Amino acid sequence: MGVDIAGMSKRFGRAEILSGIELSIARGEFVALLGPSGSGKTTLLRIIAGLEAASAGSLRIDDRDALSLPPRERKIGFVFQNYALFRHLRVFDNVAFGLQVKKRAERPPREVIARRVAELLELVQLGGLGQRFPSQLSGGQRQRVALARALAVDPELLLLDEPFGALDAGVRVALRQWLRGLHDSLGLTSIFVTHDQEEALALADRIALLNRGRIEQVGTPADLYDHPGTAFVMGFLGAVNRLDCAVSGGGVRLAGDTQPLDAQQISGPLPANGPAIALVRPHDLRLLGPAERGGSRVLLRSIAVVGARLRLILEKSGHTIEAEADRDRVDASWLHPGSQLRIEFSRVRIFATDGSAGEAIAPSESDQARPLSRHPARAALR
Amino acid sequence: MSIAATEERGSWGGRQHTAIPGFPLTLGITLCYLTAIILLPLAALFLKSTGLGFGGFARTLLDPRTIAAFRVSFGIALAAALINAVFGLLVAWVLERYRFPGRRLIDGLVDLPFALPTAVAGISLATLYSDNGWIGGLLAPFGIDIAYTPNGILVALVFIGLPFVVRTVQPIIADLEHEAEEAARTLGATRLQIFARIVLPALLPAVLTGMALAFARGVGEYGSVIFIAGNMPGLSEIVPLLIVIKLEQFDYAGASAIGVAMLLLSFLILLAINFTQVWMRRRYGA
Amino acid sequence: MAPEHHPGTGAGRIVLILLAGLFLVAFLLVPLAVVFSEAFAKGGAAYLDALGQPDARAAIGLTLLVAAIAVPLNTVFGLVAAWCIAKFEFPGKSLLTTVIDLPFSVSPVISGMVYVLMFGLQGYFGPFLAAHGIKIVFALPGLILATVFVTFPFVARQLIPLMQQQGTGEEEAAIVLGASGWQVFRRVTLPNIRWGLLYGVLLCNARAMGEFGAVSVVSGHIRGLTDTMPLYIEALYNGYDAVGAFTVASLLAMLALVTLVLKAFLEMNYRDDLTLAAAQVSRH
Repeated sequence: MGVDIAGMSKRFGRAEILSGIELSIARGEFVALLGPSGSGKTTLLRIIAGLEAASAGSLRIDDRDALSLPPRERKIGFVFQNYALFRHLRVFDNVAFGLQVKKRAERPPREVIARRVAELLELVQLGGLGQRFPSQLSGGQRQRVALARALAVDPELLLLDEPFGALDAGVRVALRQWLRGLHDSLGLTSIFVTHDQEEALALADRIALLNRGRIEQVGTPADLYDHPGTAFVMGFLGAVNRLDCAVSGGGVRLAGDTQPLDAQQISGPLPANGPAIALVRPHDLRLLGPAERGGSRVLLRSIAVVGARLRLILEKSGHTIEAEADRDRVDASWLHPGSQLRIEFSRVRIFATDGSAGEAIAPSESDQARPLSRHPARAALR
Repeated sequence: MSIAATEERGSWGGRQHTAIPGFPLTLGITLCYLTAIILLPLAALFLKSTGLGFGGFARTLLDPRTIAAFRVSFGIALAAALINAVFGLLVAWVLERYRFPGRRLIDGLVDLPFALPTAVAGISLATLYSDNGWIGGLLAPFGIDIAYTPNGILVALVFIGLPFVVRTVQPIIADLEHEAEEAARTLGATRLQIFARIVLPALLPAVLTGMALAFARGVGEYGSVIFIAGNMPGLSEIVPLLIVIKLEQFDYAGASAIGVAMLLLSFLILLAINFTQVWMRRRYGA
Repeated sequence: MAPEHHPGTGAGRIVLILLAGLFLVAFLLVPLAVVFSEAFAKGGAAYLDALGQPDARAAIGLTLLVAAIAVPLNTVFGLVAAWCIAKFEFPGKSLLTTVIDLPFSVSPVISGMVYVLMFGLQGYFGPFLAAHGIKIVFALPGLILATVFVTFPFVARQLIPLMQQQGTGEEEAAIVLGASGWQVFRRVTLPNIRWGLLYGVLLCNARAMGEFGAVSVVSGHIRGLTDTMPLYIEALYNGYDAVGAFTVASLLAMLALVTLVLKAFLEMNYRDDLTLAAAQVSRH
């Protein structure tokens, strides 16, 4: 069951929540809608489900115009962020609901429903809990009830809104692997919304990264990570350092440096001449030994050991830079806060400063959208 | 919205739930019902009062008997609201902060004035506070008359208004942070100081809300008052009774003029109280 | 319930409790006791005799009839209005909520008067109704209209915050699973609001049966025909039949007590299903 979205926009009053959305999803794909708070990803999912109307554009599910169809005729299953389990019904009746509300002519007989619900509960590993009420279940169990309930109506397209958002970290990782397996074995097409870049990278076949109601980039996790099309994409997927720089005549010079960067230090295309920003990931910085030449001068602010990794906080002409290295590859004994070091950059990406790039690097809406601050080491350094 | 809904929902303050059916139907029924039952009849009230013309309207309202009735209704309702502010706060505090036998019973009893029909309350209070009643008989030797005087109106309105203050203040007391009081105590404040400077400011907006509700109810109250008031024109005659009397004399225009004035006056007073409350909330962050 | 944080040792606490207790006894408990004491002042036989009067039976019947029509009407309306206001966003919503609240801030006397102005002999539709032999004011329809006006916010006021708090998640889930609008209401919404609904109906009924001011204006006071119980009480009391008045009053007082007990029961057992926010509790 393929999904085709073209020219879709959604306005609420004067606010534009979605604009110019183009997205094609092939049968059997597992796609993540990733983005920070307020990026419009949940709205997009709800429009696909028919819970909300689009202001413009088209939506085709299985080559049928779906916008005019009510939710029940779209052959979808929807797993809500807070599960939206029917609190007054037992687990069994929650799962059976979609079958019980079918028109009399289409409704399966009672025994068939019972058998089907039992199968689904086995499938989500909740066999024997059918007589519980939702309030008597753990978060992970509720999540699986919600999934079983969505699957009961034999959907071809499974939509999940922040499916792991309300779960503890440990449960979350276990459950998402299990969900991926379920998707593959049932031959579903699935779209899930998440603000967690790690979740999207680990789970999805493809990611559509949204920002302020627009799709910034669509691609495989490796694509997006290795070839980010915008500063926002690079900043959202993993930690980055952001430095001012100037582009002139095909060369790039970082603020505070006298020498331009070598061409092989730079990845991707260059913007037009003028001020720009340079993005580089912490593990693409290398400390130069005393014997080596070149590099940029930096001041070591602090140093922390994070398991097998070494994390350095550096200062370069007013910018704070984070660097990361394997502990067994660096001799830490000569590193002391306050000492002057030289570092070499690699795989630096240069983006124009205009547009939303500047804000995108440090998204302010939510903590989850700020990859840097999520590293446990960050807390350790304070 | 208190639920942790989808992130976008919060930022747009709600959204069109197009998938949920029934909007045109329910809105249509609601509007029709409201129009038929409330809006048209109230419009008739305003329309009727214009039948007098401005001169007649003013004459009706400036009649000494009307002015006296307004003074009685609004003045005593305010006095009753003030009494209820004090005792309502006391009752709410005792119920919320202390544990003692019979607490649950008393807590349930506070709602009695809501549940007891006003006519029942009226004849009961009149009997109780008359010179040979259980309480009136105790006070009569001291020359204190309650039933059939303005005092009787006050008693009836205190009875009617009490639950408004108690039920508004109670949840706020339950939500008070004990830490603030404990901090004040560690800083050496006395109990009285803690109450006056920490507790009371936090409760004041709720007390005021409760007072406003009790006052609004008291101004319009009829059933519990007329039995105990004595209903002497100019002395213990309330506005609702004056309206009834005018209606019985088939002076519909005069009755509606007084009714309109009463609605507008209550509305203005509630508006003023609302503004005070907003101001207090901002000031004390309650 | 939070544990008691004020040790409240000694006199202060006791004085406060006694003061509050004394106030409540004088203002609440004693008036209630007076009703029953006066009703039985001349013994049980007089009590039963007063209840046996044909006019008393007629008043009881009329009160039950009025409530039996007004309460279901307002229950259905309350459900419809709450659905409309709690589940949708639309301009003018807060104005609509205010209008629903209006009867709470209008004197009962005015609530009755507006129908006299509309349907009374000198009212706007009076001549038309008279010409067609339809009687609204000083008859049963007027009593019902006045009662509907006065009691109409109770169910809606109770349900709107409750349904708003419960959100729309479960309804949306049901819709995606293929439920029709009626199925969503019947199988998802109604079970979630049943206790709140019962609570609202309970308060609505108590007020409908006890309403005095509004029905007094539209009734015409024809004993045995248009006197509801509260009006009949007034007539007896003004006719110096204290035992008769308090006998009928004792029935209404018992209704009030039963209402309070049920209310307390609901609050104790289903507190979360009622959303007992301060504003709602104190709004009647």
